[in-house]
Amino acid sequence: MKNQNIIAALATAAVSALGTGTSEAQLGQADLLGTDFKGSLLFYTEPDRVTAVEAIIEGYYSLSQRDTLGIKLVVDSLTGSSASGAVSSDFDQTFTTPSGNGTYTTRAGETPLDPSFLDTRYSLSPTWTRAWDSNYETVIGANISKEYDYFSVSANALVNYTTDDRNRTYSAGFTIAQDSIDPEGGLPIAFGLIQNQGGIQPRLLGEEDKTTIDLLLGITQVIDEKSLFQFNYSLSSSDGYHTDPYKFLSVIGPGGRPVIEDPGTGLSRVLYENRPDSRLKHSVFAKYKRDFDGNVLDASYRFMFDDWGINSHTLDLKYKIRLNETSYLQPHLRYYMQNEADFYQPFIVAGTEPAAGDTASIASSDYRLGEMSGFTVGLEYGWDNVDRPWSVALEYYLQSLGTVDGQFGELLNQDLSEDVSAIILKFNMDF
Amino acid sequence: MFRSLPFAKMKVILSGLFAALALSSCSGLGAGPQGPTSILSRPDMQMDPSPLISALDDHIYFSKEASSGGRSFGGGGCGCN
Repeated sequence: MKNQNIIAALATAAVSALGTGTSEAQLGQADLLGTDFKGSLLFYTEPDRVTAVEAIIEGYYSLSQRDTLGIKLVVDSLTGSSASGAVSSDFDQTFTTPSGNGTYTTRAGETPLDPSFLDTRYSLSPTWTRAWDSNYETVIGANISKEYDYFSVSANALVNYTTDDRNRTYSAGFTIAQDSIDPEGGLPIAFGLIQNQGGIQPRLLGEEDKTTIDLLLGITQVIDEKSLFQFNYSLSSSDGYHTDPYKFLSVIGPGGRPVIEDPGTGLSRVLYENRPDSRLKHSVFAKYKRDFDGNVLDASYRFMFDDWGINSHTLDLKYKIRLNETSYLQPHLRYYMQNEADFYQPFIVAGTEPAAGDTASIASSDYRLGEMSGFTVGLEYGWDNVDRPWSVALEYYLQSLGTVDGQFGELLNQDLSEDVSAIILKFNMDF
Repeated sequence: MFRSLPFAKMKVILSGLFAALALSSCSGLGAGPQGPTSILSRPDMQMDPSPLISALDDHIYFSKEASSGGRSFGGGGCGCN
């Protein structure tokens, strides 16, 4: 059986590599060298919509009592259909795929979904954790991530300072990321009118970039021998391209029906969306953990707001119930709610369309920017206190969208706030 | 890049910071140095005992909601359509 000190030290390193959140105030430094590997697997599926599979493997190697190197590899694959942003109606609608070389038809009464959603992402993240002395620890990391149309590279640094009495850890972190996007079919022109398959689409060659800077300040405090509290404040500032190049808005005519651009093909009139070129987000996060004779309560709350007009609240509760020395059950509840972004609008009324290329106007019908609540319920079963701890968790996630303002005519008969549900299955193992 | 904040939101942040300061100045808290067999040194008493699971969760909710971050940082960007 592995030495528990190794496990504890590596767990500390693993947590630190992702940010704050360690109770290392109570952990001794690693006094033995070793390696450790962990792996996780995710299956995520929304009925009739997207399916995702994601695998993560992470390894740690202790160079010395002070230095630990880590490497994390992520591979994920997405397939299926994604909401395009168009509205449903009482007749069939035809849309052009992002490549401009295909079409798909959405039946009357159904939410338009783009079925050409397919991507694979690879991500590699090395980290170096160093304990300078009994008080200071640093984590230096980087990340490189590539998918078909997206590339991201980032660097991060974190400092943890633990007080002499081991009761409190202060954390300060910094991340800078540079993303570039090269969309299928080219970069859409804001509010450009999507043409028939094979036509000249309102897209340009080239790619766009986004730079993101994240700052994080945190305090982890030991309350007593059985409980801990954590408080984080984080700031995220991004500049550059924030538009989703695959989302568009329906143009609605008199009677509340989408305008048909081409009666011959049934092509619906839809315009590419356009979002602001910057975003500033603030998050306040608090977490409380307590042991109840082997059972563990883990409760957290996050408040986020940004300059897009979005406020959100997230409440997360887990309670680990120890069944015996090595196995446990952990119920999980999560509740999330957000209001809509200032520029969210579910459709555009004919006659009020911004001109193609009008980047001063902003509008998106992406439901993820609308009013929404999310509810997750799940159960995890696992083995710990063994050579190779493992767990499996099954969860159900339901997104309920807010009512849409400004509906008229036929739109009133359509469900523009269709719920989205997902089944989530997760495996986790220490090798 | 950094725009001025609405007063009400600043109050929320400042309240949190004051709460943290109050917490950090409260001499009644703490347990002192703990041994390797103490409750707080157990892996399941770490603030994030399963970072990989947290990374999976972050990816899901980042892709489906308008919020992200707060708990920690790191990881990689993605298009996440």
